[in-house]
Amino acid sequence: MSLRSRTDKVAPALDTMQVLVVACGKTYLAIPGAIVRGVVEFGEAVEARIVSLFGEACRVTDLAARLGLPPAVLTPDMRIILCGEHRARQAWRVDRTLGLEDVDMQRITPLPPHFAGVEQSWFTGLFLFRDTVALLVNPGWLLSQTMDAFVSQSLPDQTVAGDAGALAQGAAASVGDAVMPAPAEGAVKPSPARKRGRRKPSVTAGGGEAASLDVLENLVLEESADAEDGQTPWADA
Amino acid sequence: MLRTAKRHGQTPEAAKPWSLVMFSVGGKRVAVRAEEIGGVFPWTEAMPVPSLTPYVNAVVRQGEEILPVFDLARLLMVQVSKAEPLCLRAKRQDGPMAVCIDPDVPTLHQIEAQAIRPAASGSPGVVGMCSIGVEDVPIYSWAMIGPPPAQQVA
Repeated sequence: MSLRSRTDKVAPALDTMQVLVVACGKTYLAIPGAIVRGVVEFGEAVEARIVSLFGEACRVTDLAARLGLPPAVLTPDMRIILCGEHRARQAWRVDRTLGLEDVDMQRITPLPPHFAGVEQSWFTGLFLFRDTVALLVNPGWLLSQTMDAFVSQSLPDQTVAGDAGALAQGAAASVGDAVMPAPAEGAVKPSPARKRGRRKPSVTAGGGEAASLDVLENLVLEESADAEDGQTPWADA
Repeated sequence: MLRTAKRHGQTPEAAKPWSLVMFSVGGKRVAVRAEEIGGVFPWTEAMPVPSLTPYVNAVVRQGEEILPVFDLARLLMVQVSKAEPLCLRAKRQDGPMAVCIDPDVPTLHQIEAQAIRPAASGSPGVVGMCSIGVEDVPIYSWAMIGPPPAQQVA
């Protein structure tokens, strides 16, 4: 299964923008595909507090909490969206992903002027999405956040450290694939890409055989180097 | 000179009765001038929008149009009935807004201008008071509540 709504491999037209639509509670957010570097899907991995993206540590932050929405609740659908551009790296936890969408630029309208606060810098616009609306997240804002300020808004410590057994299992699982298949009720299923050995899953343990939490804090995620679609290598499964 | 004289005198415009639409929000009756109302529709589920703007923290879809939601119930410190609420389309200079109101169908009233009393101080958005039936009803103006249309984001 793939996030792609398109069935062909045709590159999106110039007047469209490819976005990854995610949900934070009842709010649908569209993240420009150009800055998405990967999606972590496994239930255990989404509990990580720090991941490594292209060799740099990224603290995982709850996107809903950062935006002042009720924080995400742990479910099998939860994902970590890895974002990066140039030297900026961010990792955001969201409730679930809804898929890739090619949005016609003409469909995107600015946030109404009635929203007169800092939210105007959070979102560059909105568009009709399915039977509701999606907010287009400003990629510049998303990548410019200082994680340290929002540590307290991430998942509570007890959630991460609550079940050492599960964490150990999570640490043992491969989390190197930034791919999409939705696991059936939390089942951890290797992606077809990994079956083919296309991607090298790598988990590094901080401190060798140290506590599982340390392991989880040092998950290493690598982007696919040989994906067919150079624009969104993380979207293929 | 003619223009100056007209300002000081009682113009026909000033004497015109006010057309008011009365509706209720969480059981509280309020009125708005009819020209500030763009229609009434069934309410559709709003999508929360992260926002630091007071009382504006959602959007609602009306067909192909997306309207910001003004949370009048929160301003009035009440809760709108959850059973089939209505959507009042509020006209503002900077664009329409949606307001969730009780399912009671709004009613139109003509009130003589002389019957409009000044609003008590400290009531944000209230431009006057009037009596409709036996009730004292505050008259709100969308232009006086919510973010001022000219406000720019820093």
